[in-house]
Amino acid sequence: MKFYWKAIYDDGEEFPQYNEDGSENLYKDIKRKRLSQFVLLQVNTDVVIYVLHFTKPWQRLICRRRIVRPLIPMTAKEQENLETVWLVGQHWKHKGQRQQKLAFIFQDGHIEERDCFEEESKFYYPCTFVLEDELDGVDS
Amino acid sequence: MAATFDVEIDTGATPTMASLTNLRFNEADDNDQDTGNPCQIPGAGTDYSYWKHIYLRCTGGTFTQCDNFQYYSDGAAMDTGTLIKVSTNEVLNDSGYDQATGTDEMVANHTGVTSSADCNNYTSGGSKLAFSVVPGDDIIDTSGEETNYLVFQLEISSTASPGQMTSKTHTIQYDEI
Repeated sequence: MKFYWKAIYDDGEEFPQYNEDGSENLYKDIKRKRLSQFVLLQVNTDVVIYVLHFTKPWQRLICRRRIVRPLIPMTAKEQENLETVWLVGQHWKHKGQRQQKLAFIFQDGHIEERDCFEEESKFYYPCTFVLEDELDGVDS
Repeated sequence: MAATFDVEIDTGATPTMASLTNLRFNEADDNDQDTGNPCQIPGAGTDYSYWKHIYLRCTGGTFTQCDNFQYYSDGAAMDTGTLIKVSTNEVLNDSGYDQATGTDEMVANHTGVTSSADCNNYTSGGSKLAFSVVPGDDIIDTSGEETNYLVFQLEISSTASPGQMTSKTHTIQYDEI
């Protein structure tokens, strides 16, 4: 299964990964402070796989495609079918400590939820937080 | 469309980039897949292959960025008397390049390698070897950008057997957004 995302803002406006004309929106352009839901859908069927609700003003989105790639030559087509696990979650600060709620969504459709990263694991290890992920000083 | 990457190998004095077809260890500074320049089994002690500079280069795609590059091997036991070593410090691409000119052990002789380890120390469910991208913003966010080098070298002891070694799978994981 392959997935794509759609952001839904607090006023109902939708910001999908793919526009109707086929163009693609970028993760960095999601307006995080306005997020109400972050939805993962199945490519081709548009079936909703996972919905992450943002109910508190201090919750911020984390989303990554975690990709496994053998160290061998591959065509662009082959690279589209690499083993991929989606990491979708939210993080916030509580008394100065970063906390997370994480979902790992596998290609077979099963979902595993965690409340922290785990260093020595195939998929649960920490992501690198980037500018778009940054918490802006709000503490729960 | 997701980011796409080529696996590259640098050889030569300049260096010169080529797509890696297979990581074959030999006694030459090349990417050849023939049986020429085979590694030698020492009568005593250890010998080494030429070291090989491997990296990923982004070739396209629509994405914000790729980061968190991690390497691991299949963890499978090597043939008797052989060991694949991988550099464990950041070997900068291209400034850390040091052309292979002999069968010298890389930590002692490669100007950019200060530490190495058995590649089997890194496995999918255990520790992985993190490596970064060319200095700057430390992320890959456009086509043509490259990771730092993973430098590989085969170590051969006198107990090794002649012939082609059992093949080994090396894997890279990274995050894309």
